Amino acid sequence: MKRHPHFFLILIPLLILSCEVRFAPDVRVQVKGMIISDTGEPISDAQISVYTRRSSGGYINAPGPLGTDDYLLGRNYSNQDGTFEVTSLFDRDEDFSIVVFNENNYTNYSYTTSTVDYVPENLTFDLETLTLDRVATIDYNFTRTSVEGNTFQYIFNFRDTACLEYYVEGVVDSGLSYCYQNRTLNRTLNDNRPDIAGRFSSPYATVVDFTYSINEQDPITQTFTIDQDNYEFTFSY
Amino acid sequence: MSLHLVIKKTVLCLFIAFAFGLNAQNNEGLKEAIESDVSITDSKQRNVAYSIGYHNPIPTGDNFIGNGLEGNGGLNFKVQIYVYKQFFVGGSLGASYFDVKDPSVVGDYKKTRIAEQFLFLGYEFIPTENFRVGLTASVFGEARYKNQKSDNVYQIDTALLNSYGVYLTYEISREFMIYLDYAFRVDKTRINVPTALEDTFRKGAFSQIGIGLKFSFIGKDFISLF
Repeated sequence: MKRHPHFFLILIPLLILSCEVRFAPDVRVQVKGMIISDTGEPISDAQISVYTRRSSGGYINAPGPLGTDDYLLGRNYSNQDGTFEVTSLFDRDEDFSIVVFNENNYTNYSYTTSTVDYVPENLTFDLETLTLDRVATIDYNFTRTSVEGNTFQYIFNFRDTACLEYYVEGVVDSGLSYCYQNRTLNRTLNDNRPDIAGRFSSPYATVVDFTYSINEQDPITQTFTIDQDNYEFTFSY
Repeated sequence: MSLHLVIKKTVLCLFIAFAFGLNAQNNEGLKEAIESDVSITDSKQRNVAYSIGYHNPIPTGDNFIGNGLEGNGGLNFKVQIYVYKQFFVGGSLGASYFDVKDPSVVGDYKKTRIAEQFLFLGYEFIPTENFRVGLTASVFGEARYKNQKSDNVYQIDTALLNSYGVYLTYEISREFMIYLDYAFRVDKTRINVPTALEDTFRKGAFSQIGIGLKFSFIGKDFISLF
């Protein structure tokens, strides 16, 4: 069979070039703002990261922001007084985001926008004052003390700790934004697994609905308010 | 055609013109220098010199280079043509390498490679038999910053380059020298930034200390050739 070395000579540079990612040349943007807690205290040492997500149409898909820092454009931390300034590279992308993250002590915030046709005024993303709620963890523990064969079904209904605001040309779009949405956690316990222990997080002062049903009887709902950093919830059936 | 291409082409043309055109002049100049009873300065006259060197950039000042980067070597190639006596013009092509020491100043990347090219003017003093001291100043210069996050993920900045230098050469033989040099670089960037970052990004500065080899050709200055 006749070989075609020229084909490979052309293909290899093309493959190499197709993997290249170039962010916007000759530009830096600044992200600034202030982070306070729901009680009005400044939050220091929160991590503010600027990401772009190139959902590449090529053969090799670009990894997302959570997987790698290849798409991290800039990062800094908030000061003692809660203010922050991040100097960052810029990229024209449909999924450009600024993520505020704080070691699970506070809720997370994300400013998301498309920069394909939008550049902020004075190249500055001013997030102004962001209020983050304190986050509590709820440790639950269910044990079966009754006879074998009994089943237990439970549902926790609580608020999530993430807030994403979607902006279109600098104006928030409430239809595409979601903050502290309701989440549910449910499971049925039976002879295969009669006991369970687990954990979830929710903003402080959230009222949690706990609904349960034993042996598929009418469900009973209890509510409790998270008033501690580590809320312990135990139940036996 | 962009400015950096003009500079690159000028340097290459100077190199090619002199590399091919010199030999004839060279022997003549050499003969003349030996035969005639001339001053030290005349016998030391060169018409062209090439150099290749290594340098280390040292970021300075309150700017994005000074605050955000750390020098990590560099290479350069220069050609200089003696236009009239010890006055010369020249061209330089090179690269300077940096590591990012504080990404919160410059943005999130790990390394910068500056590809640099400039034309320069200068004058050379010959204080003793074997030493030369030269002063140089750039006239046109371009720098292209390749800011790399990883091998395939990068961003480009560009700048107009200004370089002011001094060098000391020692002649090992009539045509072969080693040199030490110092240069101060100020790059005026084209980076678009918010008003709050203007002071940091408008200019970047660094010093560079280098060492290298220089090959020179004995002969008349450029004007005397005609």
